[in-house]
Amino acid sequence: MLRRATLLLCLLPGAALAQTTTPGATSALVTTQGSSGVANQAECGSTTSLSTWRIASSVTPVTVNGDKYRLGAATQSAGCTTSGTVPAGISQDVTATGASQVVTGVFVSAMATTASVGSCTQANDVPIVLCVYYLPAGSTTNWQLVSQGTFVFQLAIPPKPTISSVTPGDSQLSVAVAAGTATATETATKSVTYKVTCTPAAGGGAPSIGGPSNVGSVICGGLTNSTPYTVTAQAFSEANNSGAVSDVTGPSASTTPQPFLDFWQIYKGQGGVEQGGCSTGGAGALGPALALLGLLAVRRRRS
Amino acid sequence: MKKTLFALVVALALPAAAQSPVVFAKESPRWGSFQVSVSPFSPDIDSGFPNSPAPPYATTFGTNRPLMVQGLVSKSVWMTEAGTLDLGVGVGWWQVSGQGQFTDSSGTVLRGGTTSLTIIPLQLAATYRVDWFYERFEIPLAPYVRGAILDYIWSTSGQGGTSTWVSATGTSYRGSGGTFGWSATLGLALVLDAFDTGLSRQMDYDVGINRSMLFFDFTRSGVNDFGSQNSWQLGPSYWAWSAGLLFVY
Repeated sequence: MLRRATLLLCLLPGAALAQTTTPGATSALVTTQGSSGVANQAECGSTTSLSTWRIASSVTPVTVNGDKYRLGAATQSAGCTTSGTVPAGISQDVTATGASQVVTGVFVSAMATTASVGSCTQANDVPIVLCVYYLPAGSTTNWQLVSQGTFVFQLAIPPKPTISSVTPGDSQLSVAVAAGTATATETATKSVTYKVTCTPAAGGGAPSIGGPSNVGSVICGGLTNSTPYTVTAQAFSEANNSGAVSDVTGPSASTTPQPFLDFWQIYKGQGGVEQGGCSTGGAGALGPALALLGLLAVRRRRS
Repeated sequence: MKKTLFALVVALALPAAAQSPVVFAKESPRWGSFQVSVSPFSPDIDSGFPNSPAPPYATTFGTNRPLMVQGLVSKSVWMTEAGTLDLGVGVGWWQVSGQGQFTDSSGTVLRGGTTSLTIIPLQLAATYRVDWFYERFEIPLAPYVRGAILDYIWSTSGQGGTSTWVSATGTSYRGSGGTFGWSATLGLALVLDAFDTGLSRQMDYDVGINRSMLFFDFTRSGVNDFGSQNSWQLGPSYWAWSAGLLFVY
């Protein structure tokens, strides 16, 4: 699945913001939009994943002059270049058209490469710096850094979960999933969600996937009663990086859904006399009688 | 010298009086009482299955006794130095959860699914509390007796919500209803005001609470529509103890 990472860059004139660029450049505020502003392992390693940069600039570029923006990226430790030779762009320079514009089609992999992210399957998250350079009249000598912000490659994966127990139900299995223990290569432990997969043990039939859900019980629904299933669980980081699949549980009686009877059905099935509903006979008349007494008491008080 | 001493005493006493104006206030008139209580509870539904090797309630929910929480608001209709007669209404909450059953073709009973029984106990209660020991001799004990008419609103549920059962003849029975009954209670309350009369007066002055009591009692009840042949027994099979706090206001 192609996921577009979106980056919002707003260049605000004179705003008292933390990120200030080179002297003479405008102060810049860089924010992300929605859950974008980050990229997971799949997006980092994909050759087709794209990002969108939204630029609102205080400078007044003149199209006919050929004013351009150059988009760049750098390691967080090095930061954006502010002097010397203008860095190479991570995409083609874009014509600066006005106060607000959107730049699409910027490869996320180019951001990773330029910022020296390295392996997209490493265990830790890697924040990088994004840079926007203003090239008046397209000049690469008379340039300035007009904005910078951060972008995070969320690469950490969650540890392998364990299945604590499986409780069968009517056409479903309730799977209790416990978080795994973090290791040197499995470090994502915040906002982890879980999916469980219930597959017919004898083969055939599509597996049922329950979740995503926070740790606890995850329901595998739509199953066939009296059919044994195997159950696995998998954890997903906040950035949707998948961890290792848990050990397989089942097939067993606890992983076989059945049309279980509830308490009322058991009670009635054994010949229970309770009918349900409101009381009958003398007791049934008690309610209206008490209501009548209450009404009489109210009328007496008013009179 | 005496004038100076008198002025000093007055100067010291005035702030104290300002902080505790209720020290000199008269006790507010009493109107009624409010109490909250908890009680381990287990209905005697299985009494309808004396010969069953696996009666439905115990096999589904086990033998634990989840807590029933109840509140009772009463109006005092008769007050003497000896005691107080309160008439009140009460409501509570109780729920037990367990697993369903399935018997496979080999006769093996399997457990699974979720099922629950919920009871909302309603009551009309008459309570006579003996205040004489505390009012007359400041002995902080107040025994009481209570009789009540009960209406237990109940509901059973399974995986798909409220339960239903269809008989062999096609009649459908919904697993919810109301069952009437009675209860009789013997209890003893500890009058907490005796341990801090200043705080007691302050509570009366601030919020109108005349007495605060910690109580413990035993209740015998029968909740089967007064012996109806078509009712189960939702009352416990034992004298159920309960404990709680009672506020007289």
